[in-house]
Amino acid sequence: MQAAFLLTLALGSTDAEADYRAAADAVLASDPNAAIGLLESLVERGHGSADVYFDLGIALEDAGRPIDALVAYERALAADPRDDEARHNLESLRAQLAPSAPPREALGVADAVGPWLAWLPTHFIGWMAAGLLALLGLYRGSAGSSPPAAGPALALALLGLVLTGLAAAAASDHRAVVTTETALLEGPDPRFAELAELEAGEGLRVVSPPGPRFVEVQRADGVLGHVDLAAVTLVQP
Amino acid sequence: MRSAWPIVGLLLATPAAAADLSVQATLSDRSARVGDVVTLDVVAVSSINGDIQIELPNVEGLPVIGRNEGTRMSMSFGPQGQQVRREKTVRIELSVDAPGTKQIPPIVARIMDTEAKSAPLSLQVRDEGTVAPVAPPADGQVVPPDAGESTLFARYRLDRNEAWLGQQIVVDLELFAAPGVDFQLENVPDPPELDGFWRETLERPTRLLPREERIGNRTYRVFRAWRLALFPLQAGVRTLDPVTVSLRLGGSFFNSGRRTRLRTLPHQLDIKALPTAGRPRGFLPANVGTYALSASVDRNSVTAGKAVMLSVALSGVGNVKSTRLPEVKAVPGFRVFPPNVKEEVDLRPSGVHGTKRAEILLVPDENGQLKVPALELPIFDPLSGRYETLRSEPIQIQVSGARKAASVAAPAPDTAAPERVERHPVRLSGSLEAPSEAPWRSHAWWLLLGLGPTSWAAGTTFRRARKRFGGDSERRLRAERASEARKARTRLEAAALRPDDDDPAQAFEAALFASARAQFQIELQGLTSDQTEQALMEAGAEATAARAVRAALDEAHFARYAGQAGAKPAAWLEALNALEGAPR
Repeated sequence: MQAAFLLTLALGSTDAEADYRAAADAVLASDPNAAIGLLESLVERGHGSADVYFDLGIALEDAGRPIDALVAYERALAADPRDDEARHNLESLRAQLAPSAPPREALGVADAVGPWLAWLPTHFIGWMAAGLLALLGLYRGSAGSSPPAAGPALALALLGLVLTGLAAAAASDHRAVVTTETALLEGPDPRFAELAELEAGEGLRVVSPPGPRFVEVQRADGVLGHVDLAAVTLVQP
Repeated sequence: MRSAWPIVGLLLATPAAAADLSVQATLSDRSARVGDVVTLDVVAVSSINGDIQIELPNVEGLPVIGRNEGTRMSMSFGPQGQQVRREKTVRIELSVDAPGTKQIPPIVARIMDTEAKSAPLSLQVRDEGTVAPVAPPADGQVVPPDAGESTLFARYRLDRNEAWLGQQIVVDLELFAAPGVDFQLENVPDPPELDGFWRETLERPTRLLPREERIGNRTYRVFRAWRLALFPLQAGVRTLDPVTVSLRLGGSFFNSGRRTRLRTLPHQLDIKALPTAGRPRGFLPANVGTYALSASVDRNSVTAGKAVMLSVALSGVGNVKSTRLPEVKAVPGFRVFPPNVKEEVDLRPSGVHGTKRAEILLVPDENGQLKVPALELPIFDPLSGRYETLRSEPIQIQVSGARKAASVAAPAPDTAAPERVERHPVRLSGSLEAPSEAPWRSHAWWLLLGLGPTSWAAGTTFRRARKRFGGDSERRLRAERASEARKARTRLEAAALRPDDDDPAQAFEAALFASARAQFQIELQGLTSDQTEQALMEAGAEATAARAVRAALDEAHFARYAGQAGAKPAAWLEALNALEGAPR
């Protein structure tokens, strides 16, 4: 049974790879709609990697859906902040659609530390730091004294927690893409004053969890305001 | 429903059983068509006490689809005394499946040893295919009922009998019932298979509501079973095949009524091919209907590089799903992206309405006053019977010189590139592994993180509490030991007063051990006298007191083994006092 399970896993991954390759072939054959279908299927099946979203962005561009392409590139960067090609495609497309919108790097913790943290196995570090702290605490609690090398172990655990905290901060930095031109308002109601005009394709940083109709965002120039959820697509829904 | 022609059978019974048992059989109809339902009623009456048995024959082409039985008994008292009358009725519903003359043999009834038979019956069955076609009625009218349908009949009603290819035809299935005719529908048939038509269901009510309509010289209640919109896909004479509606008449709480079937008449349609004369160039046969074409943009003034959404809509009455919108391949001064097409279909009782809309993204390549030209779409309007070319209004868009225009690396207006050349190409291979779930999103991680500090805090708190509240137990222990020492001393004092009665040596040892535990927290039991002296001195006792205790202990040991001869409890008590009272 275990062999059958492993075989099923292997076959499943082989199907996914075949779909990914077929999608790339479809893009090259100028059939972006077929590629979009294959890539979206891969995402639904849990293969939402940076490479999949990158290719999806290209297919969406070719299919004449540039806003959706921007969202796909943003998701590729969310999956892997080191993906410079996705960043390049995102910025060049955004420059074409919304030339007055500031570049993506101007916003938030994610953009500041994300690319550096992406080189580290922050998930593994987080588990190790928590585990090390648990061992130290259990030893101290039961024995009444610290174990050998407790000092360096504690320092290591705290460093791991700091890195984990930064990674968590970067991951909590959510983004949105403006899908239709709309206004940035002072408050979460259409009667509030307009702070700025947002172009379709512009990128925003989501400051707080979305409400029923509006979401608080920050433009690249630092202006904070609220925007109608119907006019944006959240990169991390 | 055709008028009933009951055929009463002659009684075929022996003279001797004529008064004991009789049976009659009647058919609801003398003639029928294939697909109809006829009812055979059998009534057997007997004055004999017992159960009446009725044998029903099988008739080919008339299968039984329903059966009801009932028995009734009555008694009367007369000159001949008490008389019992038993009556059994059987109602059988027969489906007429095959044409020809159907002979129903005599029905046999039996009770005890008595037998009776009914007269044979016959039924004329016409083939469905022999129904003579009727001329279609006027548009929106129905064919009046024939003589056999005066109280209940079914019909198609069409809003037109002639239509152009692709023109919408609204078709109703209606039931007509005379006042006082109560019925329950057993099933509403699905619309017939219609090759060569596209079909949309406009109405299919779950509850049939009547309206009144006068047909001929009679007013009927009319029930609409369904309404369709048909769009013919082929020219020529087409026929809507009949459908059969099954229902029950005259039912009540106590009986289910009589089943019957109604069949519509076939209905002919004349579908005309679209005229070739005057057909515009680029006309597509799918664009038949009464439509209007419109084009609009989401904004008329943009800065260079900003996208404009062009919306092209075809709205009206017709099969919008199959229509084709005008293609927008090139607009001067703009890059044109492929359209996103949507349909909004509105199924109303009057027919199919709707809008087909294409949203096209336009990105200007130039500055200045640009124009989206008028769009054209040739259609055929079936109402007018003519071709028309629909036109939208041209749209002006002002593209202003953008402040970023100089910084945007845009190509020269006359050399606009069709796509972004600086884009990184598609990847042919890559990782399909989505990012794993972050630990801070896992409850287990948070539990693990809290385990360390919690364990440390719990251990520390426990030890402190034990240290603080554990002192009481030490004091209690000291108090207990002091109490033991006092008791042992009291026993020694008592033994000193009665040396002959008690065992003063043992009492001295006990008091010495208890005093050592209480005062010095040392255990002397099991030690020799030398060891005892040594232990006392090490515990802090004065040397003279320790020596005195040693001497007393030696004497006590001697006294125990010498039968208390030489016991000196008073001296021992003094040694003990010296030990307890001597400063450390």
